[in-house]
Amino acid sequence: MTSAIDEKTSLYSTLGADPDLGELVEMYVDEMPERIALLEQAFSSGDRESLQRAAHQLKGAGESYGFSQLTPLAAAVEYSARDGDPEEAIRKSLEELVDVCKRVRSGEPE
Amino acid sequence: MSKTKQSSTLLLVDDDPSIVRLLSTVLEREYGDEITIESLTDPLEARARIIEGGVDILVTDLEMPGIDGLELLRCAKQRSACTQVLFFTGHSSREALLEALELGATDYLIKPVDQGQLLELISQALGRQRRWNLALAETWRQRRKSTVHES
Repeated sequence: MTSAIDEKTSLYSTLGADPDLGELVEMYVDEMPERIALLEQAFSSGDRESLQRAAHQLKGAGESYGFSQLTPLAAAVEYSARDGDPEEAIRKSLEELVDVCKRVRSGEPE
Repeated sequence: MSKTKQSSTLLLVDDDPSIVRLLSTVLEREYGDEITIESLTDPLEARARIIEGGVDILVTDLEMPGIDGLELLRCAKQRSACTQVLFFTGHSSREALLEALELGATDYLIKPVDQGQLLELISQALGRQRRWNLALAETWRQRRKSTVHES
């Protein structure tokens, strides 16, 4: 059996149908490419402090926006960057996080 | 800084704009008629805002670059001891949590923030803040009355 994260499917927010918050979810999803770029740039330039900070924000905001899958993966990147883990370990955690970031969607599943 | 409506004032501070957008909307929806909701993403601006006018309720992230939530807590309590301070925390150190308690923090919320819990804590903080204000206003009235009688 595969988990929801393993499946290459779109991920929808639990707040997507909320009349007030759905629009904010849409904005959050629209901004996701910038967050991914920030994470990848911080990693490739070896700026672990910025990587830790960006992952920390995703950890806090992801589940708050109804994307609970983001939080544990962002936490793994944050802690890995903070604890000075080897580059390869951080890369692996980051790839998992970015994969999920790319699959978040606004609205509701059809 | 975004700002809306009347009476008690709540200042929300988090360096993540997406969190500020979400939580200020949630708070506005629930308390917009009875609390003026202000929000800031720059803790330096937040400190200046607190020093300038004071707030009734401060809701702040504990870990922010530059000035952290503890500094804002200090400022808010110096400006008005009645200010109720709630803070968000992720993996804060024991020292930071103890310091927040010693400085008079009202309560805390673990990130990711649970909206129901946030609203419940704001409701409690609002009630507490209003009771303190009423009690202090009453002592002020009593003092004025006795001063008038003496003269």
